Amino acid sequence: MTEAAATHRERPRAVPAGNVRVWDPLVRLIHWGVVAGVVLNAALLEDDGKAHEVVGYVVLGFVLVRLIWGLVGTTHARFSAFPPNPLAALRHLAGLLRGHRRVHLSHNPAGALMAYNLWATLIGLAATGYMMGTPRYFGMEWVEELHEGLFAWLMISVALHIAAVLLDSWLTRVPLLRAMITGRKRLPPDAGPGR
Amino acid sequence: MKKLLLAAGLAASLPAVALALSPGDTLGTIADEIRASLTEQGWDVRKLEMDDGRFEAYAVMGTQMVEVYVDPATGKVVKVEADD
Amino acid sequence: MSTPGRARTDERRAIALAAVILLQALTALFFLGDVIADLLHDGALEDIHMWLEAMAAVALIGGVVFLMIELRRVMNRMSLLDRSMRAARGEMAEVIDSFFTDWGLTPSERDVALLVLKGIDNEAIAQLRGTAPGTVRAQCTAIYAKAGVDGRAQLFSVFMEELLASDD
Repeated sequence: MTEAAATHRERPRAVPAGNVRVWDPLVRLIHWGVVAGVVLNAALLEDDGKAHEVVGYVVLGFVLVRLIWGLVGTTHARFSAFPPNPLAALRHLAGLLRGHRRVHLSHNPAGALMAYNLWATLIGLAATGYMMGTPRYFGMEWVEELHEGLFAWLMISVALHIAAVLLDSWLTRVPLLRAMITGRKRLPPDAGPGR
Repeated sequence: MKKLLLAAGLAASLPAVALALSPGDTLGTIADEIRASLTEQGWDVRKLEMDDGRFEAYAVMGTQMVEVYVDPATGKVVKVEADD
Repeated sequence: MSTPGRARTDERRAIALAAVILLQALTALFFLGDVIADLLHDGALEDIHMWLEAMAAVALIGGVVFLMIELRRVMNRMSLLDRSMRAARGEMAEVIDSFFTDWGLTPSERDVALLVLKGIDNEAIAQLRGTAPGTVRAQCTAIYAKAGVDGRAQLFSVFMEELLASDD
């Protein structure tokens, strides 16, 4: 508490402390909509039913809107705020392990890769799912196996995603789950400079 | 023959495949027989496997896609699922 | 300056916009899928039904684009509000700082004075700083003397006047 007076002067203006609006309602609705869709199709609906198909296309719709929003949306939702950069992602992870606590307003570089991975996987699932309903690919083993393979990859990615979010939240002391619900990131008062 | 079936199939408002395959049709008691019977009728058999004690065949003719379930004991079709 | 009420209306509006964007986008996708399937199948849109679906898809996509622009505008307005409120707070921090310097407060006295301004009572201040309440009382006496005020309330009013005056 004794740093309070000192940090008032030292806190860099680039990263505001307190609650910052980061995730707009569209980003959040899409995120949780996709979660619901994945849970439905992965665990609750029959694989060969009509509902499974419909949910699959709904999730595809969500992802497509998110991609458009990534081009024309709010600052933190845009791709430019979290460009795909594997080197930066590795640096971020190494930094975390070494105790660096750099705060990112949008997705951090590792989270960015996960986002792109999840979107690509979901699109792949929708594409193979669609193909299975066309005369050309109906009943083709390789399409079905690709669909199942992508699903397995999705499950691995989701597990990794959840673990990473929890770990990052714990290490940086920024509650990420709450941020994706309320839209605001509560930044710790001694936050270092970041984007 | 194929075109006639196609035309007849597309013209019908009920599952068109009712004209080509119906429950009760005899296809065969072993995989090869079933595959041969379907191919004779003009179907492109994409997949044939055992599912829940029944033969399940995925077949395509033109734009029609069907899943045909055959009882291995009787050799007859027990269910036809037409994908719209 | 806009009131918190305005912010709350904007929040609700933003959520509503997002929901409608998604609904329209999904519906557009549905019609678009139908139209594309028909085009692939027949090479052209055969009946009026398909033309209507195509029109609906175009209209819906137009709606989505328009609403996205609107949503962005609402979000920008909200963060502008956030920024000006933060700036006000930031400026206040600088004002407080400069007063403390003018009064010649020691580092410890600055800390205590800030906590007093935050409305924390002496007991809690002592706990936070790991000192005795008596120490805090002594520090407060020094602070009030240096600031030329009688006590807490007057200390507050020094800065309240600053806050109110800066609006001119």
